Amino acid sequence: MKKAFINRASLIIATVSLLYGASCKRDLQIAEATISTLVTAEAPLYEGINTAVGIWEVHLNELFPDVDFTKVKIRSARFEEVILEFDPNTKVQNAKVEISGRNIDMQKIAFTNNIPPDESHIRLIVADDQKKIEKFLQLDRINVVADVDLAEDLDSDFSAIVKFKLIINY
Amino acid sequence: MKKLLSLVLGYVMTGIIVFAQESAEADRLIGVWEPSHGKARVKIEKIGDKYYGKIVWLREPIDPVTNQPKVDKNNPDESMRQVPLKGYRILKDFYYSGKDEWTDGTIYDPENGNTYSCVIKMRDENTLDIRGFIGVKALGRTDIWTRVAVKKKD
Repeated sequence: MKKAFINRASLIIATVSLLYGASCKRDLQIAEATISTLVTAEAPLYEGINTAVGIWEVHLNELFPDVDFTKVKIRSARFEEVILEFDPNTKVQNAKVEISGRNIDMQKIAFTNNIPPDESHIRLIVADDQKKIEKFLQLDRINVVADVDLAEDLDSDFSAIVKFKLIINY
Repeated sequence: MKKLLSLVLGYVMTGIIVFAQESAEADRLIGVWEPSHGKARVKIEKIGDKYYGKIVWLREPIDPVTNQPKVDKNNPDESMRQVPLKGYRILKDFYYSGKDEWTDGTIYDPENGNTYSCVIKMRDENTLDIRGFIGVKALGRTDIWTRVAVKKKD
């Protein structure tokens, strides 16, 4: 009786291990892409926080031409780098970048404080905690929202390029 | 044929008018609002098809401990604890659901780093009920926000 039980238990364990091993057989692949989005805020703009918004049209096949998305699924995604570029004549003190999309909660992606007056190409501090980025990539379009703290009033429109380095696991 | 065309056009025009009216109704939320504690003012704006609110004024903008502008020191994500509170988006992802209500959003409390589900009900053009809750709406707390008249710079 005892022997039969041990044999049965061993068989179950062996079967489960085999199935688990089979599912893990294909290691996760990694791919990387850079996205640039133009964000704009209409004048007049005032000293303090102003919001510039842009649209990122998501075309995964163009971003990752070596990945066949009909055969694989994105398991996870995150932004590893965020850069903000703007007119050097515009004095921006702080900046923050968030993304939003339909039926997904807005995500804070990166920020920076105390931007030196002569800097206009800024690498932002990227959030450690990024939720559901892979869900955003299922959308057709993502709103890119840049909040910029202007040091002085601006009579002209503000625009900036937000560059993301995106890593996916599939 | 002409009758059918007129009928279709009529439906389309009605649809456009209804949509425009609802859009105008939803946009009444846009503006600057002050919570009951008076410590901050929040500007609500529309991004895409959702509504968001960010802090645009703080009664006490400087942290007495650091002597620096207040930051999000209680954020559960340590990497984001230096984000300035001025400009911080505390209301997020609200949709207009009709009948003076905006739902499916969240409100963030920088005092404790917690995010709550939230609904906004407009009592009148200058008064909002902001109700934050966890799980069940009945087990939440309502705060009354008042619209701030904003003077445009010359």
